Amino acid sequence: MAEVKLAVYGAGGCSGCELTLLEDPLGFLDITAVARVVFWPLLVNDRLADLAELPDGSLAVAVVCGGLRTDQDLKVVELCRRKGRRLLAVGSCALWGGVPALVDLPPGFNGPLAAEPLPALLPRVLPVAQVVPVDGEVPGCPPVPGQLTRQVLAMLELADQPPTGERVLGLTDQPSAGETAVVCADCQRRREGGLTKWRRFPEVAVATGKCFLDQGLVCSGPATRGGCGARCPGAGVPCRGCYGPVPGVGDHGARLLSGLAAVLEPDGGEEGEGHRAVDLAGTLYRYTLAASLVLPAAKPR
Amino acid sequence: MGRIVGFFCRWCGYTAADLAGVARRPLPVELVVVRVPCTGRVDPELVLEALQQGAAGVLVVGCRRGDCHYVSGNLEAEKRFKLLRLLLCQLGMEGRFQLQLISPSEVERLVEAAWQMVFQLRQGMPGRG
Repeated sequence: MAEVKLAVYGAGGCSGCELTLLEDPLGFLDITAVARVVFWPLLVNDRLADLAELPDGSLAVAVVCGGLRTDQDLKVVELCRRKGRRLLAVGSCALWGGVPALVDLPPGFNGPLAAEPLPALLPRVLPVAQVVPVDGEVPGCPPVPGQLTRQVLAMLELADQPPTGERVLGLTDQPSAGETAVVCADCQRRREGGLTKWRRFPEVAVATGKCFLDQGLVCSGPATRGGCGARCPGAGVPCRGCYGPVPGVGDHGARLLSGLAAVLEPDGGEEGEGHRAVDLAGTLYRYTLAASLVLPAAKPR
Repeated sequence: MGRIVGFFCRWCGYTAADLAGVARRPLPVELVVVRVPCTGRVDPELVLEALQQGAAGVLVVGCRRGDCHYVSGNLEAEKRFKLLRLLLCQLGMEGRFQLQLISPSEVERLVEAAWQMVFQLRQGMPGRG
């Protein structure tokens, strides 16, 4: 029986997604029971030549975490696409650029340029899907460990079937809530009033059981894809939006902006509190700037 | 200069643009008008998409407060677009988006707002595109 090969690559990110694979030890053992990891710079093998030498399509699944920041990221991800029968994009950075993409907020990055032997920077951070076709995705920053390992196993099972061209959305823990449910569907907090004054997190003693928006804290829940179990609001922290937009929504920030405007008191307009929102761009697009409509579209490759 | 996409409410902005034609008050050629049932329907995503695809500016025209045909669509739009303007300001794209609340008979105000936006953008507003 032919060996089932798996590769994992962490591009521009924090390696949190890669480590999340290990945070579900039993699930990870299930993966290693059927597949062998041939390339994973973080843990086992960082020889790019080993990956390049493999025949095309010989990897069952290539897992890519992180957005594309450097020439090298681009090169390796294109390699992963060629060698892998299925490409799985994991985490907010791989899917929409994530926090590292906020470097592209105006005026953009003007720091020193990388010199040899460091790889050159790309003109902007790119999500994986803007460079190569992606077969499956797992959202999150980082993803829920069990959801990630289950998705890797599902992709391994699919690997020998002909490609369908359809993207397999991440498996979530609340299938009953449906694909289009938002984080609020799982949140135990209740809304009473509206947003009358914008506050920042350190200014507020967070009340339990009460919606963050009522307390003046921006919460990304109303526009963010559910399935995470609303763990952050449950722990007393507003949703930061790491699961990204609901499937079918193009621009996460625009949807969140609509959601916030809907609860904003009418007099919170220009002269009112609405005008005091600090870093609206960074808040609305915290994880999705690289895939948003407010940056110029990436040139098709 | 690129185009200016106008999302005009059919009950006020569009009627006013129509009246402008009747009164022989020219509107800028750069203005491309999209008739919408209500500005409450205009998703910010549509505005951002127009700007990303090369529109120089976007002008949304809705009814005056209290005049909405559907009671509160213009109020929702106002809240939403004030936030959007703030967002675009923070992104260095101020001047490329405007919301005007007018009544259907205010032809002059509409014509003036459209021309003013064209002049400002022709002078090269800050921002991309």
